[in-house]
Amino acid sequence: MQYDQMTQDVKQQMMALQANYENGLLGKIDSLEEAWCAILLSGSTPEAMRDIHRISHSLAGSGKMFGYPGISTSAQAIERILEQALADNSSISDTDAKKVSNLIQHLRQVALDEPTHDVSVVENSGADPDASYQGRTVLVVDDDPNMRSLVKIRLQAFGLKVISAFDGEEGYARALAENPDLIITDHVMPGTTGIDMVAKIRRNQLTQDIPIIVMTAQKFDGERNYALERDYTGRCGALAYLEKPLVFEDLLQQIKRVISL
Amino acid sequence: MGALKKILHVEDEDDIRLLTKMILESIGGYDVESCASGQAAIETSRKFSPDLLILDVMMPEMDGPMTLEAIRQTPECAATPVIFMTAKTQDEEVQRLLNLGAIDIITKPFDPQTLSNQIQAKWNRFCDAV
Repeated sequence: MQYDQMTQDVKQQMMALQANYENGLLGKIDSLEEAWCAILLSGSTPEAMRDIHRISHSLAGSGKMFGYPGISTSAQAIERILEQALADNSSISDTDAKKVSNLIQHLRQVALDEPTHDVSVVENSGADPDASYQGRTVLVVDDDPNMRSLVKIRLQAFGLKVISAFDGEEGYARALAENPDLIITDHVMPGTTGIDMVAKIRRNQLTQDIPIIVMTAQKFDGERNYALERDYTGRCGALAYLEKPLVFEDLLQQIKRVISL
Repeated sequence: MGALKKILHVEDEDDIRLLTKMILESIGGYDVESCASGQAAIETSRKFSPDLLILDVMMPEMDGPMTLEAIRQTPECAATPVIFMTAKTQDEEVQRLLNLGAIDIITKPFDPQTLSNQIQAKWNRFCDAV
């Protein structure tokens, strides 16, 4: 295998590992929060403190390597507090308890937002960050964590800041809160579908002008769903309707239309 | 001491273990066996006879130093060079690990892009010193 091919293959594998990491991240933070709640309810038992120490150590070690330096920093701070308490054979002070609660909240927020570029596993993925993309934010709305991760990673490599939402309801909330430069949304999602979310976004003066790209696996009798496409691009004013599996170059082409407007 | 070909890596964190194996195999071209625990590493070291051990320090039940001590009991790995991986960078911790016989230390988080070169450089330095 030639070196160039090997490098591309390695990058693909790294992206898959990073997507895998991101999929498990919130689960780890959930476990950390559960262990912490157990301490708040029942007191600082050595076993419970060791649980939190173990999980925070795990997050501290892996966060920065997978593009989440904020995760590493906050998890290290929790780890240090627990280490001290375990070493002193004492319970966690009220002051430190407040710190831990705040740090766990911060962990969750960082996990939902995007990793920074400087320590991303795919920092040197071969894509050249585009100067015109700097400072631009894209909101990706998809209930599939793999799709969210893959789109995030690919777009970050071009210098875009990417935020995520799990479903239409959260997508609308984040659009309102963050006012992204572009929204990329799935159609079929639990609760509020993509089209209902887009309709809501269009009805709100604050978000009505945000460009929207739809990506969906939805077919009609095995063929492209032209009726759905018309609903999105006609009635809801979506910029583009892309079919999954996503061809990334097609998505990038549509994004360039937004940036050049 | 010849070329570095076979590495036994012991790391309890799934994500880091998978990433390390992928990097060392794909970029370094090494033959890598990975174990998620010290206990699993003992048997694997016997069968695999690695040229180099890379051990995470902080692991549940059997930490890196305990794993090294157990692996050293196997004739195949009685003298196999070891590199420890640790998140603790304090001088006393590094010295402690070197005193246990490590040829070098890799601090976590490590840069995935340069890990393979780091390992090779540490191996080369070790070979030059022998």
